[in-house]
Amino acid sequence: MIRRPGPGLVAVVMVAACGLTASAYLKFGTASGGTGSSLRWVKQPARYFVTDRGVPGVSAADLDAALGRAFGTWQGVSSADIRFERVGFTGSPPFEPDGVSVIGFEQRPDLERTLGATTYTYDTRTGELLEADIFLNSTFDWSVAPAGEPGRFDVESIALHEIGHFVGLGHSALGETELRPGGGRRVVGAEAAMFPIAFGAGTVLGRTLRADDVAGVSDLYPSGSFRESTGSVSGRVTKGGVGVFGAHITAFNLRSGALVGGYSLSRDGRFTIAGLAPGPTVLRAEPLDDGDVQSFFPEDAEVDVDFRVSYGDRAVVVPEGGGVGEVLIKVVAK
Amino acid sequence: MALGLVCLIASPVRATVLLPADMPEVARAAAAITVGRVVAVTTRLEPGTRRIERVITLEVTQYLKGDLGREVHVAVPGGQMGHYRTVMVGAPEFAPGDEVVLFLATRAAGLPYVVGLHQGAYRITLDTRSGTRVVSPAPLVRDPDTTGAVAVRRGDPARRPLALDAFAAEVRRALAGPASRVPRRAR
Amino acid sequence: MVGLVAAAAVCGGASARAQTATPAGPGSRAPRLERVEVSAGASWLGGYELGARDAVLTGNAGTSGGQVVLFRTASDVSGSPGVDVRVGIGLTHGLVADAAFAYGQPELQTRISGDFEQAADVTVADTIAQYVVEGALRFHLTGWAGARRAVSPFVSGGAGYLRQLASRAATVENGLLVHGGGGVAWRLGGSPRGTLRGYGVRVDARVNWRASGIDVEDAVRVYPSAGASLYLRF
Repeated sequence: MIRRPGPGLVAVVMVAACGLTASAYLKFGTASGGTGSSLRWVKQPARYFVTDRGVPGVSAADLDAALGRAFGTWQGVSSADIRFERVGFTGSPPFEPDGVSVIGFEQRPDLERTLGATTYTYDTRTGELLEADIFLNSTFDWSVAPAGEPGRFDVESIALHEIGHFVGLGHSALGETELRPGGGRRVVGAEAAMFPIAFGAGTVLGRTLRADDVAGVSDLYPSGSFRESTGSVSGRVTKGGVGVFGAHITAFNLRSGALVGGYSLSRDGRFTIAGLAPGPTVLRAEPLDDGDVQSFFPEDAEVDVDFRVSYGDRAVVVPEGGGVGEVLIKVVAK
Repeated sequence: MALGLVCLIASPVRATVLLPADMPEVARAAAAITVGRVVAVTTRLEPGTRRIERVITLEVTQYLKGDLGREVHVAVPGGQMGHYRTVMVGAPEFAPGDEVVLFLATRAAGLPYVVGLHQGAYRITLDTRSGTRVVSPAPLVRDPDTTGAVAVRRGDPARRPLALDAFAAEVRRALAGPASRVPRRAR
Repeated sequence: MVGLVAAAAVCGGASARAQTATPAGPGSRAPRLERVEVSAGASWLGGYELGARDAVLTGNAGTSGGQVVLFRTASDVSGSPGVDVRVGIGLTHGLVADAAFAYGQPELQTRISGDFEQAADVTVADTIAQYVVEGALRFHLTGWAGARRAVSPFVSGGAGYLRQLASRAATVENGLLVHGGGGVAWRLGGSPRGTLRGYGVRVDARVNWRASGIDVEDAVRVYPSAGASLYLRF
């Protein structure tokens, strides 16, 4: 059993000057009066309604069942204490601030490349989530088939991702893409349900949570032993001695093979990644220069993408219930 | 309930899952590709709905495709009205004074909108290393001389923000199609 | 294990004294055989492989093997020098019970290669402060106490408690160490009538089995070590 000999670290929620913040995995946060807090459900269970309309191939009952499975997947994370309650069907559409969380299909041709989206309403004074709506764009073809259907997007996979936003998680950058021979772009691989780009129609690969998702939701809603059984790594990303803002850092556990991501969210390049399994770990930094910066950072942050991928200056052994600090990842400009 | 929430400083937030696109795909989907400056940002309820959206007023200095006039109003999801503020993660954020390149689609009813949210919005900024005005982010464009799929590698030294004229050339090449032999300017 | 060795040392010491006592003549100082040995020395701890593991992403449909390798790793613990101090109690003519404390600083090294973004291959490391407290039994084939010959080969075996501190003491890991080996002791001098009964050098080599401790998997690791020390016998 790996232990720490002294006081441990906890994950840090970075505070922006104003408005919405983002922090490691990513979690959404709010800032008010100079202090920040994570956007999360304080009152549980988090209640939701399902719209009473289906689409061709997916009835309202099918949608309801798929959502139930997706919510169940998040609720089944043993290291997290998050509970949901399906209240019933509603005729109200999602995305309207009506005080209740509504999930359902909606026709949005103006969002022709958006499969789904989540809206929150929250009290910025306390960070308390009041309402969250999820829409699935009925402009596309959908499926709830157990093995998926060619040409149709899997409701449960997209719902799993959107429910990750519903609980307060932002996007993960643990994924890679490629440009296709005939034009267009495609996901090659991803290791988080919260990667912002879908695997594609006909696949059900997005129905499973990965280590990064589990670490994120557990950090937001820790169960009793989560903090004591996991550890954290902190450090800085620098370029020419100057801190790098907006670098994506990946922690790879050599024992379990788990990948958990984080970001440097301060001007001096500091980062903290929590919820890590104990054991030998290597760290890697990369720029978010594949065109998706605004998919991760909600404000117009000055994200530095002018650098090459680099590894931490040392391997670390993450302790149980504690943290390793002062890891330096030096990057060089392109 | 919506009015009851007005007494709270409530801020709706949105987040998305997208279908990925490269720049040529977005360019072909756009009805117009504008180069211009944001002169105003106002917020309203989307007509016929209770959804909050922003209306971006753009003063256009150059069209790379199409023509919607010298001044264009563009709808973007999210915004602040009274005590409500909506932010969609993935939707572009604009402020007066921003210089931008926008890939816009039109619709029969409603204002033009940005194709693919942030995938259709580029910013013109000053590159501190070269001292020139460049378009960010660097466009995802496939080299026409390559065959097969090409991995998008983060940190690729070959992918850097382009000067506006070089970016415009890439857009024209993308619109001309894969068979185009329009020579590429050295970066 | 350590407790049993200590108890044997206490009990055996009396036996050793009974075996080696000689009758004293009138007016003479009777010679006494050595009973306690103290030594200090240096050693080399051999390294060992920990294995390879790839960082993988779940591949999209059509991806070979269903996975995409983000980067590859291969790890080992490097060989390193160490120091030790040892106290031995003679139990019989040839048998000695030892208690020892050892310290070393091996490195956990990870070689990273095959990066998806084509980053250069690199090796990263973390220094481990390693402490061992152990007990052992050592049997000298030609006798230990009062041995006439200068050279005394021996075999030994023992077990001990391992404590490893990594990442600048942020992480502590405990384990078990078992060893077996042998060596040779060279007696350089000493007098059966003086306080210092004997002194010399000892070299030894051993095979070590390590269970638990800092590792990338639950496995017993085997590695060699060799050492040399100066001893004093009283």
